[in-house]
Amino acid sequence: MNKRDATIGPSGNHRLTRRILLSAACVLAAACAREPPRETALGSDIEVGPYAFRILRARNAPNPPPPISSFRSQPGKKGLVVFVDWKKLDDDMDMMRRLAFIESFMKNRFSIRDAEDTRTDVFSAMQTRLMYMEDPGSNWRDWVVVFHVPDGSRDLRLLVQNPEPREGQARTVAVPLGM
Amino acid sequence: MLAAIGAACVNAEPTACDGFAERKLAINANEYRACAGEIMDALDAVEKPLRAIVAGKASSEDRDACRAAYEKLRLRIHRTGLEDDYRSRPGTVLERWSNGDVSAFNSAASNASVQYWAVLAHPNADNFAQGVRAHEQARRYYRAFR
Repeated sequence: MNKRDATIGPSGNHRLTRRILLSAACVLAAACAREPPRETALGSDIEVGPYAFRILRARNAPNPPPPISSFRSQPGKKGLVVFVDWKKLDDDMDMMRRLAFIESFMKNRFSIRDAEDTRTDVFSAMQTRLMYMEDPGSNWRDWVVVFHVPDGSRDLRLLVQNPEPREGQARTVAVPLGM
Repeated sequence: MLAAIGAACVNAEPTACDGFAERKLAINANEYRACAGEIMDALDAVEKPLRAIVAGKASSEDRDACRAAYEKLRLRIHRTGLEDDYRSRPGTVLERWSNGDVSAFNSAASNASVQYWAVLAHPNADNFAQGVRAHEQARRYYRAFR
């Protein structure tokens, strides 16, 4: 009776090699398949899951600045504000949750890239009327997002990450700010 | 018991909570209701035999029932991904759970589960009382979106 060879033969090694190569190919393919940001104009609707908002415009931060620490000048940087109009949120979100969600979302999911691809994260976000030292009342829709980008940076684009894109939605949206 | 808990984590049993751990945005009350119902049922099923264990009056059937119910509870909580939300990534809570009552339910249910686990490991009245309190809070929030 023939004894079965218990060592791993060439076919086992081949299988292992094939698996490693296949895994490497998958990683490479995934990296290459990362979709580029979808460009969207100022004022256009941006849908993120069930929510929607518009990036209205971007301006240099007010000068003289309001007495809010977010606008304190930073050496080598210029402050700018991006105006956002939130159009749609869950109906069953109460007011406090709306405000907390919007602020958290923009801080975590917004950023700016310049022509050199330098990334700047959000410095702060607030209801627009607060920037003018006015009471925002029940207005949860109008927001400004404050950035401090490097002096001399140009061709700024606001990037919005969509953590869970639905059909037809982009994973990342890029909005040229015209600055 | 740790082995049993570990087994619960890889259990293939389908539940109403499947898939929520992978979600990143806006889980609403409507779609979460059935999962929350299963979590409430599992909490209720743990509480009764656990009470007997703490009182020192538990039969071996009570202990088995309690462990089985706890496995069901852990499995469902694990499949929602909410342990991570309330333990190690609090920033995601607002994005993932859009409804305040649902979010409060998750927090209370997660607390109750941790307290009940402590009682299973070392039976004592203090953790049990805290677990019952969190359990009652979870029930109240569940009623709000049921």
